[in-house]
Amino acid sequence: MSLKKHMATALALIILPVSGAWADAGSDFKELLSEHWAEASKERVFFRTDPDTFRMNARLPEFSKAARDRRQAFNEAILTRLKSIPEAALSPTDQVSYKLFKYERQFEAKSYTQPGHRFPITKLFGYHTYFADAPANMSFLKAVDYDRYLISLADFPRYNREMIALLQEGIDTGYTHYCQSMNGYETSISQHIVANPEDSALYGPFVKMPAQMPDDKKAAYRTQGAKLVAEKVIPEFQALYDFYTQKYMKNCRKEVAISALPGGADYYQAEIEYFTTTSMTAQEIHDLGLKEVARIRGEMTAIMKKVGFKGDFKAFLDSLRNDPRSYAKTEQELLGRAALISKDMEGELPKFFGHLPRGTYKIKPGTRGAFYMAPAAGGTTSGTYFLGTSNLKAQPLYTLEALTFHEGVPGHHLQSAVAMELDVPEFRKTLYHSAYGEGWGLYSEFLGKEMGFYQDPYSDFGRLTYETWRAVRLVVDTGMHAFGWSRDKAIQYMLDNTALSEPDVIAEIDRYITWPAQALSYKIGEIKIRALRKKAEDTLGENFDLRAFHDMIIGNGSLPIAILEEVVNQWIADQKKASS
Amino acid sequence: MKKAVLSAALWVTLGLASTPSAWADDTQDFKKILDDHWHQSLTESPTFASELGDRSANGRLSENSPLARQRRQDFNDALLTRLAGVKATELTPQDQVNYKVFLRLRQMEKESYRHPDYLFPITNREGWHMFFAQTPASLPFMEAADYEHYLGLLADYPRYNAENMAVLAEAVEKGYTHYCTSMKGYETSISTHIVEDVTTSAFYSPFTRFPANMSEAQQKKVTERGIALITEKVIPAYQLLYKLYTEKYAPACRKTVGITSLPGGKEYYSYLIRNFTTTDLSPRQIHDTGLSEVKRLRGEMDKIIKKVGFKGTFPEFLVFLRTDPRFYAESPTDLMEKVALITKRMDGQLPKLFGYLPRNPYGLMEIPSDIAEKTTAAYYMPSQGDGSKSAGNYYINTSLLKSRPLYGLEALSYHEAVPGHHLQGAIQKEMDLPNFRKYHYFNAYGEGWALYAERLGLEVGFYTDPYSDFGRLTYEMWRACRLVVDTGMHAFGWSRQQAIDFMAENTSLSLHEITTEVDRYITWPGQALAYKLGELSITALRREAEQRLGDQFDIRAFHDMILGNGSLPIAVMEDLARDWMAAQEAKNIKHAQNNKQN
Repeated sequence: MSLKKHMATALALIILPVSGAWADAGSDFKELLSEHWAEASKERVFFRTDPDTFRMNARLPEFSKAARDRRQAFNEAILTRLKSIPEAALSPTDQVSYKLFKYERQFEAKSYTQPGHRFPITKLFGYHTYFADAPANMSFLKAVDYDRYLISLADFPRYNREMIALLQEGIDTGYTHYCQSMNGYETSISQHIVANPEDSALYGPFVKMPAQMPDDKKAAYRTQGAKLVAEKVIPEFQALYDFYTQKYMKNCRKEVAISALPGGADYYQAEIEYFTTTSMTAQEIHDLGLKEVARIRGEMTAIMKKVGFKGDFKAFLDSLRNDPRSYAKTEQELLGRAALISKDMEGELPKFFGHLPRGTYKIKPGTRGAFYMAPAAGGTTSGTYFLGTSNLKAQPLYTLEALTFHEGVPGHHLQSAVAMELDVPEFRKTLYHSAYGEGWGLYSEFLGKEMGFYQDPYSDFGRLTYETWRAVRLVVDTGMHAFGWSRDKAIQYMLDNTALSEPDVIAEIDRYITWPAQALSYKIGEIKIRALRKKAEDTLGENFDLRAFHDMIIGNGSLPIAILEEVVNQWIADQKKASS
Repeated sequence: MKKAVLSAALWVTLGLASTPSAWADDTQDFKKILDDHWHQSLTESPTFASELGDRSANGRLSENSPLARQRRQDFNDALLTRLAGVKATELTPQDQVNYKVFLRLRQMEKESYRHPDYLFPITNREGWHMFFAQTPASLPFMEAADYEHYLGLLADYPRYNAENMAVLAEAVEKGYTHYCTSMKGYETSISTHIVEDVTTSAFYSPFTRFPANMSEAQQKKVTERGIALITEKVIPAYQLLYKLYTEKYAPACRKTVGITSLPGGKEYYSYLIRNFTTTDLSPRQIHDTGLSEVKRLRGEMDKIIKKVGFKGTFPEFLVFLRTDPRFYAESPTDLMEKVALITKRMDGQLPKLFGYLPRNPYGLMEIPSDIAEKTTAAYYMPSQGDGSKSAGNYYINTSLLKSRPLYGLEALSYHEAVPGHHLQGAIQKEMDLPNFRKYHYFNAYGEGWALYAERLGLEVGFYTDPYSDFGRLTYEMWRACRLVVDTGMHAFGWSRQQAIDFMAENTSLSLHEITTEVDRYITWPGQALAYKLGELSITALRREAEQRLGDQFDIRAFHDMILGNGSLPIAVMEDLARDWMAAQEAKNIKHAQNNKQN
């Protein structure tokens, strides 16, 4: 502690004797957080952030054994220091940060004992696709943005070699991906091996450059960019391709279940805890899934009746899937529809939320189905709602409302943008708990109904198929990883119970196989948020204010379920006091 | 009263420190004037007060009787007298800006009472009866109190209508009516609300969907009262207006185009120019600026015609644009989806152009069918009140699709929504400014900004389709033409047809749009000058800043500054922009010196 800080603390003690203890522990805690944040920023590795938000920022992060050991040691040191700060002596807001920070550091400590780092690729993405896709989602407004980018390109060979070493460790320990699930994955690498560097996605930032930059400066950047892409990036993609096809796939896993590997059962349970932020067991989750599937089926049947369909569930799904009216005819039509749904929803937000974000989001065609990407720190980029447009049959129009409310607003974008703008410690702004975030996304699909959307019963059916899809995930993810289900059995179960097309179902199942437990977070999180709302409604009666409830749920940033529960209970108590 | 005592006490304790005490004194006086004015504004405009959340103002419409107008004039005069007692030089820098803006507004208001302004409560596309018919769509219906408010407004409508009808009757008597041809068909804007079946009335729509927090019994009761008020109060009022308009007003319509042909018309037009453009430019200066802009833009348009390889003359190219089906939407939904995608794409580029964005979102709406055919291609309606409970809305005209070219949609959307009107208006409401500055709209600044915003699309990579870029130019050209034809008709004896021909030759607007536009200029003199004049001023400031600041020029900071002060008269905006440039220059010099020392 500096002398200056001691004096400031002493001064605070004189004026505010009661909260003096707060100020002291508070400043120690603040100091700890800022040291931790500085270190994480230096490492460029932020525990539990959304992997989809990867953007390079000058030097790339290190993934060598030494680097992981260094991070582990730092985390241990932080945990030790954290113990010496008395939680009870902190202000109420700091107590939430403390609980959360402790939860994260403990989880991080545990993660170093697990084999998760051996999977820097999954069926859905990989470190190389993130690297190649990032520049298109960054803002290049000034010279410094280019200077930093050139550093990243030059650093790619080291980064790539470290990642390949992790994949090799996977081979050495048996922690590779299930063979069949990775079919065709090599094209995600080969598409970036291009003869002409100007055709590379990594050259993108040099195609359209800021109007204000002098021409000679632009030309210099272009030359350097093309050189680095040609000499440093493309050869590395080739090296990865060779390694992947010649070594990795030769050693791919023969069993579906992650728990079939040594230590795999522990790892699966750890992943369940990481993604659901609960300590539920695979069995509890499986049973909950079966129950939800049955309940939602009842609601779906009611709609079939309402539209006067004569036939069974499967026939109804087939008629939806085979009707040409269920699909857009062009990419522009699909994007336009999603955009109109988005704008209609944005116009309704102020009635259901008191606090809205300043950050904006756009809609863009994406390479891998629909997903949301949060804005970059620094405030010069927007969030992005990506929509898969390459196969229009894979994106039926009857699910477009649900999808849009999930990815855009009031779902991921609203939640993430609000979190980034909160006045909370830095580590809380970009933290992303799957159960909370995906639970909020799924809750948002439901909220659309309350806000007057889904006027078309087929679209309302689409909403339910989306909900049941997430319920099915509880059944099949645990089924395959814990209860011996085969890939085919999982595929069949999903085909029977959701309106997804067969290619979609297969892609989904391969995703669950290569990314265990992640898909559990949606339904678990949504059930928790809806239960907390019900509790607040029941307790507060006519004093329940939905706008205030929503502001509170997203106004604390991302939280693990247990801490969210505490925050909600406190809010209910405060509301009760205020209204009595 | 309490406040006056308080400020006196403050003066005593700070008596020794001469400068701050003088500040405190004049600052307190000035603050009191602003407070009194704001309080009176809300009293005079109960619907605005209830938008801002004042429940006690619910259920009442404003007054427009001779008595009410006199009361407002007297109040304004009294404010001017009090303002004269405040030493502007003694105010804080921020308050000096407030003072300048407020004084100008009060002076313009004072002048408005000397002109026949109040005799024109309608234009070819607007009127109190149309405004009132929008209330069901613009009010929030979230709880029982909102319905009570609405029922109160319905009950008060006959009085409000009668007062405004008296104004129209006075206009007929004094000869201050609108030009005949421009008002053709206006009566349908009234007759559309005279319906047999009350459930088809626009006023009935709030009773078709209720919030979940109202019981069925409540809903039933409210609906019954609503039906009674619509049939007994509202529809009969529209019948009265229809009778007055068709039997008295329309037959007495004006035979001359120019507003200057009326007694006092020249002075009135000069007042309107100053009011709308916030400049002292003469009709001649404006006309000439218009002609030179038309010439410049024509050159840019010719370049695009060449680029797309069109073989033919400029008029032939316009015919091609007006008739080729590829440039028109297939259905209203098709049009809405295209607009939505344009706005979502622009939403995503805003962080590159602005550091500070508003919290308030905006939605898209189709322009209601009862007014669609008579009105513009699009318009923007800001959120209700302070924007805390409703969004802004960008309205799109989905009628007569053959006159809504798709190549105009980019420019149109950047203008009405973002980075145009919505962005500007929402930021203004969220700034820490005196209330009158949060809610006042200066046309030259606001419309100038929106026209400037059209061009911003180019800077973030839009208008990739050359036809759409041509659409942008044709929109800019359209605003340049306005300088020529508005002054042409009102000051230099142009006929309506002459104005129509001039616009048809120079813009690719459809003939339908051109006709309704020209009729708008005839019935709303001076307003259409605001766009191009405001934009020229903002563009010139940007050039100046770029030249002065060189590679230190930060586009996001420049835009934040232009929008962050809210709506301003042009001269005040220019002063503040130059202060900002000077501060940036000083910062850069300091920065450069520090670098040297390091």
